[in-house]
Amino acid sequence: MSALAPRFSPTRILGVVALAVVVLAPTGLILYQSLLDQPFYAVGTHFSLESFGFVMEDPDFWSALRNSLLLGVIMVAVAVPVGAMLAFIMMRTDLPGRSWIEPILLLPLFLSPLVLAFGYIVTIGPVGFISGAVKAYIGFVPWSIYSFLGMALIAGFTHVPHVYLYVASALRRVNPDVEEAARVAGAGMLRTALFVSLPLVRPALVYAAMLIFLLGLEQFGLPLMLGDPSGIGVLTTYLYKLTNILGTPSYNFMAVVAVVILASTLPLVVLQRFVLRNASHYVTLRGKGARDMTMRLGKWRWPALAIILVWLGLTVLVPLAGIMIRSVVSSWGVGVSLIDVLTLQHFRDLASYPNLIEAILNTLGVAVIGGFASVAIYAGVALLAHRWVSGWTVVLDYLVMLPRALPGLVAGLAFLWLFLFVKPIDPLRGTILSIWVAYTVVWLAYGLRLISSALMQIGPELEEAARVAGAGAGRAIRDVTLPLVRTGLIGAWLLIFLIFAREYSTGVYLLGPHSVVIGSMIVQLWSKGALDLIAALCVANVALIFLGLAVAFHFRIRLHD
Amino acid sequence: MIKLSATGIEKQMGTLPVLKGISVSLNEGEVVALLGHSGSGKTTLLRSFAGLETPDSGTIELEGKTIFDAARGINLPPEKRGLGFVFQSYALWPHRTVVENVGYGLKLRGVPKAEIDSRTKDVLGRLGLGALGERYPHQLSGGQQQRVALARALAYRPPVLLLDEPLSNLDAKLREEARSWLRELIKQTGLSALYVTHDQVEALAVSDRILFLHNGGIEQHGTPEEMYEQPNTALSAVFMGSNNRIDGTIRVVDGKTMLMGEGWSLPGRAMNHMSDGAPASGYVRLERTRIGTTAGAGTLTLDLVSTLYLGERFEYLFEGHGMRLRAWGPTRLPATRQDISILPEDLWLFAR
Repeated sequence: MSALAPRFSPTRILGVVALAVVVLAPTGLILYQSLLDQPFYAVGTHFSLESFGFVMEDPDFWSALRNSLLLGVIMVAVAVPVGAMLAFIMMRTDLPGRSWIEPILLLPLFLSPLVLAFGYIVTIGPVGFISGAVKAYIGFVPWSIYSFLGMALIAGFTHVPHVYLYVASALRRVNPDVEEAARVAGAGMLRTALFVSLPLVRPALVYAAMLIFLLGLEQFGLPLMLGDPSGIGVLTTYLYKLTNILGTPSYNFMAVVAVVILASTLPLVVLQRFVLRNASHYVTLRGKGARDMTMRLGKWRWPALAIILVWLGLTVLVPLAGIMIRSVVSSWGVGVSLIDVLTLQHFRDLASYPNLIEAILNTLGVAVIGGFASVAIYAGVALLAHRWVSGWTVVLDYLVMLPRALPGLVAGLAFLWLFLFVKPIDPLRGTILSIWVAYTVVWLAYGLRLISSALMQIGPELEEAARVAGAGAGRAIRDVTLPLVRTGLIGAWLLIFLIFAREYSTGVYLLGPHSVVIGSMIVQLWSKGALDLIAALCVANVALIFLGLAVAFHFRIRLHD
Repeated sequence: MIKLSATGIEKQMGTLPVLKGISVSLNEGEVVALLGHSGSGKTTLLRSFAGLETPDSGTIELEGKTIFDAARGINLPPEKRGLGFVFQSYALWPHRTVVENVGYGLKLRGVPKAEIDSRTKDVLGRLGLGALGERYPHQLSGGQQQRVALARALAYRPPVLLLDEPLSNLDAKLREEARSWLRELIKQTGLSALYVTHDQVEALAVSDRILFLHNGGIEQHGTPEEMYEQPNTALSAVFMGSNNRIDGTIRVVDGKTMLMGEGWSLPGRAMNHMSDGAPASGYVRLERTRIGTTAGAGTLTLDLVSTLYLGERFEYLFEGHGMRLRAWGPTRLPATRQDISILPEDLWLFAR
């Protein structure tokens, strides 16, 4: 253990305290507001549990809570088995074309759920392209995505890549020797998979299941677009509707719902941390040049490939193609040839709404410049804890967990209140800076993990060597640490770009004339029913994401471990 | 003149004491080896000198100046101590060329560019690295990397060189060559050096004095000859060389100390206080375990059970009297009973 950073370091402690303020203030404000009988700015507010009582008496709240939990359960039930199976097939079999299937498989990870939901609406929704064709053929549409089950299944399927990522990286860490040992000992392929590989990746499965359940509780885009039209609410949409129905004076009720959401997500985040800590027992070191065990699929090769291609078609191609087509046609339906109704009018309309162009430019700005600034801040925080033997790092650890438990919608709301509550920072409200601040805090844990994992790969003696040679702590970071993590920092910038470009829920409550971004604009347009504009905006969003992915691809930046 | 000294260094990691009050001094122009098993605290002690670890108590002085004093709260950071340090992993900066690695310490000291160039070139030339200046560390062999690490530590002419297992990443052949030129280099440069190693042969070859550490304490210290020939404890006897261990009981006969067992007895040399009838262990170096009888020596008759061919010699394994003894010799022996003799001064007796 290195003692290079002094145990007592005022600069570092100050950094932790500053971070604590930024993280605790918005959450604290939510808690405070939930215990008031009126909005916090009203005259004559009192502490009371009245607001809790009011919300608890609303049957819609209880159905939203039940739906949120059920949505989480169904998503886990769908995404975990499918994701694990795909990971095993991709990592351990001789499926043809694995190298190009993987990036496509991961694509939904980078797309906004709003965009995907819209893609499904225009293709397999009641009047979608595909539904229309099916109806013309058999006379009716045998499915409905505007149902709880339809919504939950789509949510589950679009989260398969999350599970895939965790299980695949766990399988990569499993030394194939232990699997080969089972084979040599006489176990067949299936037995090896079930009794050796599966138990070894069990921590990853548990972790992924908890993550999916957490994401289920935080779902907003899909329930808004697919559940809400038929009156199916979840906690986040219930919160969102409270604003619309009751208007601003309902701050105290909104805070109660936010507290309920936080009370269900925070324990999950804490639990996840312990699962992750225990997972290290299962790591089997792999020797140099260990090759992944390849199972021969034999005659199942091509059927397996066909199933995966159909899967990719349904989850990636259908929604994306749907959006593209929808954005360039003026009408569709039975007897309408799409060629005849081709138009660029939606994009021209887009250009005539100045704030839509601003939304696109803002999104680009927040993702590129804001992303850079956020990575700089994350790097600063990561360096705070770097090689620091102190109880303060534990404080830091726990602080970082809090934003993870905040769904974007709630975090955005909390920051709106913070700007209203703390007068000196009120001018920030309604500017794009407010969006950036909220994004940076919401993605704090994610960004920190990206940078810490890069920092961990630097041997401590490289920094020690600089110190012994005569460099002070700051100089050693500048001359040795930072140059060595440069590639990691650039990769982190790109990932944060992709996430900031995709983000929609955090900006919803921070939306103002000059703080528009594509995602929150889509949410607003959705409530107005402006589908043509949404289609054009979705295409713009997908184009941004693809730009980022193309850069990553060109510079061979790995977007996952 | 004492260059570097430590007094009463203690350090705990959690509840585990790593250093239990160590005092050591390094004279000008001297090479002192810190020898011990892994976990003996030798590396922690070395890193404490460099300022990379902070002891819980004790003081450290460099050229008469206090650089660490736990009681007075003095703790100079590593960059203010100006020592040279060679890391076990070399710790060459992968993003810098050889010249940049070696010249970094001079650059930090504000030496003019032209002087950095000439001094870097000079030290690289002395270490036989003249042609490799523009290479990156990953383009060098292990031996070359090791020399660059040394060049980097020497470049700014530190008063004392600290080396942490500098040769342990080289293969066996290279290591043997490296230890002789390393000692020569240190001696030529007139440097004082502290040298951490777990390899007793390396410690014997490289150093002027050896400090044998065990469980955070000093087990024995002395010149290489003293360490090898006159171990104070069974532990140093075992650590410093290859031995046969013979267990028995002490009998003092006519003022001579004998180690006895059932059907055998050997005269030996009592290394610590032992009374008649006490259980004891005798240690004899393999190269002092003689085949055949010798005048004045104790003799055991044992069966030769196996022979290993080691190239420059044979190693024999003997059994009998419930003991197993190894010995070396120049020729293959017939697998029969053999006389093994040990001179009394070669059999070190330690009470058990």
